[in-house]
Parts: sequence; C-alpha cells; structure tokens
Amino acid sequence: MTMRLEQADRAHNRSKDGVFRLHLVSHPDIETLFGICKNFSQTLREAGADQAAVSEGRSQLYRLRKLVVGLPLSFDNASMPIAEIRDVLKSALANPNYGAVSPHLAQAVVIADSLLATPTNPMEAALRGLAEPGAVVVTRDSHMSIVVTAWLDSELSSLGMKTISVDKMRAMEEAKKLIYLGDPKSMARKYSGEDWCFARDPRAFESHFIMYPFGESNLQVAGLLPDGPPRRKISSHIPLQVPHFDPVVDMETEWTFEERSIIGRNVGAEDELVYGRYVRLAGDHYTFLDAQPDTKTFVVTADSLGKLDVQREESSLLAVGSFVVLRVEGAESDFIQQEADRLGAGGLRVSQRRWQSALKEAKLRDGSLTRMRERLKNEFNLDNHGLVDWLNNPRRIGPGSKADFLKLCAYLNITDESEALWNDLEEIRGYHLRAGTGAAKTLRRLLEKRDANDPELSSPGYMTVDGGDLGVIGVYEILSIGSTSPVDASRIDTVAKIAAKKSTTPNS
Amino acid sequence: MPANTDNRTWRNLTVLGGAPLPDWAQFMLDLGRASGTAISDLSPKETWRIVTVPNRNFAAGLFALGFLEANIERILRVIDSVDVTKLAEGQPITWRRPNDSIAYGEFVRFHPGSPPKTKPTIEYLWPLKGGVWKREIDRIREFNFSAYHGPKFLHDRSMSQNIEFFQEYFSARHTDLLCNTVPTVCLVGRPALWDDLRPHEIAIGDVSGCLDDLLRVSGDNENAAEDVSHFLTRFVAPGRDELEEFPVDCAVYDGARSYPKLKNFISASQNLVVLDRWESGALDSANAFVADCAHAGKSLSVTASGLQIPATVEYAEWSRG
Repeated sequence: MTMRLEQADRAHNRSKDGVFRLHLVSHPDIETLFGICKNFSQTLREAGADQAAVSEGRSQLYRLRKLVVGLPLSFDNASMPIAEIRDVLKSALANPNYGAVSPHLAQAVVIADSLLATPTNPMEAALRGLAEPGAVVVTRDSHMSIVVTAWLDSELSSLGMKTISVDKMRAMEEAKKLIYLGDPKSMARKYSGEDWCFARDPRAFESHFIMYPFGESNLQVAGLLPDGPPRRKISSHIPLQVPHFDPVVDMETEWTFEERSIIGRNVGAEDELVYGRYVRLAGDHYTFLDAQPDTKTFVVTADSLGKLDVQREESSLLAVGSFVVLRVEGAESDFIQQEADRLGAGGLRVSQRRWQSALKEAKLRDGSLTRMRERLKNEFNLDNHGLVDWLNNPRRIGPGSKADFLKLCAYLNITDESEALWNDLEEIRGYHLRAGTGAAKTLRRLLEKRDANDPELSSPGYMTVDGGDLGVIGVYEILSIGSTSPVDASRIDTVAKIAAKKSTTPNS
Repeated sequence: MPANTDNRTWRNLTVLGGAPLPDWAQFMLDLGRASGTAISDLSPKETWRIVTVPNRNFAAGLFALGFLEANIERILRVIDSVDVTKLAEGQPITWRRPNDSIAYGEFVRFHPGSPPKTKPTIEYLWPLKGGVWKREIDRIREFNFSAYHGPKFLHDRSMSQNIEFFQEYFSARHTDLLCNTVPTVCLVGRPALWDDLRPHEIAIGDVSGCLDDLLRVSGDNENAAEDVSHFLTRFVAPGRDELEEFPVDCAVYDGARSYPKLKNFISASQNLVVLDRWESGALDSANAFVADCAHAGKSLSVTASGLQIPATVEYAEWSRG
C-alpha cells in the first residue's frame, strides 16, 4: 500500500485503536488560581462593575492562568512573563475602578510572587518523563508553540522533538506520540464550535495530556451526526473539576496583547478608516486583510507532487497554519489590480476615481458620515453598509448592484454620468475577473518549482521570491488571526514588521 | 455485490501487492455499487447519503467508481443508442484513430448513398487535417464515432494513460467507453479529491492503476485536459466563479466546501456527501445535511442498504420522491 491509501488507512486505524492518557500534575498555588478566576468573574457579575474598566486586569489574570497551565518552563523563565503580569496586576490594584474585584487580583499577585520565588514547574517533570524522539508536543496556541520549541531546543535537543499548536493539527501527518500541554476541553475550545477532532480522530496512536485536575471527568466525544454512539470516551480515576471558562479572555493569547499595541497605529481620522482583519504572520510580520465579505486572498498549498501551488481562497476561510502570498515591496496596488490594469482596466480607473472623489466631496458637503447615511437611506432609499469602504478604500470598484450605483450617483448629483460610469466599472470588474486567473498563473509560475517542504516555510515560516514586475513576493505562515478593526486603507494587504519585538516572542 | 457486463464478473480491486482493500475502502466501493443499483431500477427517488471519515482519501473516488460500475450496462445502452447519422450539423464528434488516439471534428451531413453502388456515408469537418472528410457508415462502428459534449480540442488525445488497466476492468467494451462521452458521476471538490484520483495505488491482478484511469475524469483542473480525452465523470471545483446548473445521475460532494455550497447547481438523484472529520466546517456541513432532511419532512436512516458500516465511518441517508 502506498501513500494516500495508506495514509487514510492509518487514520482509520488510529480512530479505532488510538489510546488517550491523562497525566495529572498538582500545584496548590496554581489550583487556587482557578478559583480566583472564577471568583473574579462572579464578583464582577454580581457587583455590576463596568467590564471595560477592569478589562486589563481581567485579561492579565487569565493570562497568568493560561501560561502556568500551558507551558512547561520554570516560572521565572523570561518567556513566562509572570513578573510583568504581576506588575500590571499590582498597578490595577491602585485603580479605584477595580473596587470589588481587587481582593481577587491581590490574591493573584501573591500567587505570582510565590511562583517566582519557587519557580519549579511540575509540568516540566511530566514532559521530561514522556519525552522521546519522534514525539510531538501540542500547545494551546502558536505563541506557546514557539516558546516550547525554543525550550526543547535548549533542554531536550538530543531528542529532536517538534511542537505544534492544537489549531494547526489539521495539516499534520501522523506523529509517533502526542504530548498535549493542557486538558482536552481547553484544546477543543481552540477550534471553532468546540470541535473535538483531535480526540475523535487522533493524529497518533498515543495521545498524552499533561494537565491539572481540571476538566471533564468523563468525556464522551461525539461524532458529527446526531444520535450516533460516542466516537470515544475519556475518563479519569481522579474526579476532575470543571474550570470556570471565560469565553472572552480565555481565548486570548500572547498574540492578543501584541495585537492591541498595533491596531491603534492609524494616521487617518476615525471616519476615514476601513475594516481590516488583523493577521499575525511568521517572522514578526503582520498584515490586515480586507474584511469585506467574499474577499479572496492568494494562498499557497502543496500539490500532489509536493510542490507549491497557488490558489485563491476566501479570506474568511483562512486558518492558523495557512500560507498567504503578499507583496513585500511596491504594494501600492494588489496583484490583481496590477494585472487588471495591464489588461486594460488602467485606462478606466478615471471612472472609478470619479464617483469616489464625488463621494468625498459629498462628505464635505454633508459634514459627517451620519448625515450621509441618513440622506442615503431616507432620500435615496439606499442601504449603505459599505459606505465607509466606498469612501475610504481606493481599491473598491464600486457598489456591486447597478440599482444601488444609480441611487448613489443621484445622491452625488452625477446622474447624467451614471450609465457611462457604470459601464466602465463593469468593464473594470471583467478585467479583475480575468486578472484573478492571470495573477494566479503568474504566482504559480514563480513558486511552482519550490518544494512544499522547503525548510524556510517551516522555520522561520516565511520566504521571499523576486517576482519581477510584481515586486518582491512573500509567502508567510499565519500564526494567529485576530479581530476586525478600523484601520487605514493603506494597511490592508500590506506586510509590516512588528516594530518592537517583545521578550515574550523568542525565535518568532 | 458485483455487477455484470458481457457475462463477466467485475474484477476485484486490491491495493498494490494484492492485499484486499481495507474495510472502509471496500465499504465506499460497495456503497457506490448499491447507489448505482438504486438508480438503475428507474425509481424517481432522490437519495442523499453522508459519510464522515477520519481521512477523506479515496472515499469519494471509490464511491464514484462503484456507482459507475453498477451503471455500465445502462451507459453502454446510451452509447449504443447514439445514431451518428442523425446528428445536427456542427455537432462535435470524436473518433478513434488507428494509433489509438482520439480525434476531434464536427458533423457536417449524412449521405444515404445509392445501394448497392455507393454506400451511405457521413461527412465531417476535421480541423486537424483540414477540410471535410467522408467515412462509410459500415466503418463507423469500427472507428467508434460518437457525439461529444466536452470542450473542443484540436490535437489528438491519447485514449487513456493506462489502457491496459482500463481494459482489464471494463473488458470488451472498454473502447466504447473511452470513445464516448457519457457524464455519469459528478465529483465536486478540490484539491484533495483530485489528488487521490491520480496515484497508482490500486491494482487488478498484476496490473496497477489509479482511479482516474477508471473514472475518466474531466473537469476544471487545467492540467486535466491534456491527460484525459473523454470522460464518464465530471469534476467541479468549489472555486469556480460561475456555475450553471446541470443534471447528472450521481453527485459526490467531497468536503465541507462543496456541500452545501454547490448543491443547488447540480441536479442528481443519487447524492453522497463525504466529510473528513478533521476538515474545517465539516460539522457545519453535517448540520446542514441534517437540516435538509428535516426540512424535507423526512427522517435520517443510519443503515446502508444492508451493508456493514465500518466502526470508523459514520453514515446516514434520507430519500424523497
């Protein structure tokens, strides 16, 4: 039996015969921390406190919990920013907004101090006991994966073990043994809809979970279809408690804290921003992807021959571990726009700019976005959800519906030009459709000879290629997908470097 | 439950080296056969099936092959019923050339001839050689002239990359199958589906081959056109910007991105959804399947036409009509 059939057969066998083992570790301070998190949320709810006013303290409290139960490093290791968290919590204690929840933060500060004073992490011993060549360590997120990789290189380099974050396991091959740093429930929550795919169909015949005694005591992993028998049962000899889960802060990662420091760096006024989705890329890069529905991005996948292939993927379908293609230099327009201009759209852009400039003039005339929205809705019966994007995103060709465009032109007092403009916009769209195919072929030609197992793509997770007329092309692994925020249009699809590298991101 | 054609039993597919197919693979092949049998009883029933598996490799392809196999007799009847003398002018046609390649042309007209002096002939435009050519009707069968519904091609194409394997599987009528266009199964999904149609991982006796050899796939993949000449299976990719609705006997939706996204474009009486349980969106697709069943006022059945469902496969089906 060869590759694909054998791959599938082994997957069926793992699903049938895979073994799961829970390795419970204990640390009184850390187990107390679980109660503190729960009490914090409960007090917050009962006191009716302003959640926004205490969000920093809440994030840091849960950050502390996530790090100590998800990483095997000594608590005083520089990659475990416990001292930093403690200092933020201490400063929060001086903030009167925290009022009723302050005692919980004070307890957390005491625990942080205690962990720093006695930095032995019980997860480390458990991990060393399970470590062996070929084993893969699974972390809760890609930042932890980077941290653990560095730790393994330093502490257990002779074993050549690898790490992977649980949300990247879709793409992984079979491992000899999987060692999860955390409980199964927390891992499942890293998948949209709390998906138990890693337990239903394991990627190794042996799966080990190093965890504190928090989680379900008798897990039944369901299949995808209703009313079927459970696909797997995982039980523990020790009664396990269910930890308090906060759907907001428990899903944050170290990337979240980094993202917060980046999204606010806009130069435009608030009403001049468009919506972009923050994406953290490998090699200390990031970008904002267009948040408009149906936006597509070029992605790189492996073809059946193990070479790189280029596809266009809906941006909303991108996931951690996907590789996106972006331009590093000369990114004043995107691939498709440049190709479309070459095909003939360039001569028609004047029509695109015509209605966009008329829209900017209308904004000056009406004075505010709110007034514009009111007029468009009440006087012209035009749904204007895309108004900010029409106004501020120079790449936008125009409203997709002719009826909407004619209404917009009426509002802009350019009705006499509307038919001609619409015809030009339709022609531009036609060029963009052709360009989508053409640009994909061009990128494919540039990348087709590269091996999908190119070491650069696994570490550091990105590479650049000279794209001739297209400028320098970069292929970047997605490490994290963040929130959608208003940003300058110029930041969309543009690769930027994380300016100040934090101590919490070694080797990234 | 092997089908029969030309009074022969279908040859057993094995993995390379002769070991039997794993139970889940044999199940997918047998499920396809059972579905193919369901359509040949002329029942107007529309059936939707779903399987969830830990790995999608080969699942959709083996089901499609089983379906095709169960329908070969019906397909051959369609092929036999095509009368090349009654084609419309300009209708694309193809025929087998002596070097076992396939040529493309366009039908021009039929000449009844004046028996016994002259024989009936057809005239056709042959762009590759230039000009209009004639062929006697009694030699048409020899050259397997047939109506063609695929995209135009000007250079001769090979009949099959692996004709020995094709012949081994389809026996005496393999040339008829290769020279004729009968879309039967529509495979929806890429790129993983396309990938497992290609590798040579199965065998019949000593002859190895791949599913693509047997399914004769044609589709959106730009590389496919040069490899296969004719098809019995269509291939549709979810990434297509425009898609017209088309009817087909059987549709296999491979993966969460093909179902339910493309189901409204494809009209088939027999439908299968294959979900890899690791795939992003698989749960949503499974829920959509269950919701469709509920919306139709039907209930799900978890038995598969008397087949034993392997422990690692989840299965459900519903029908209407």
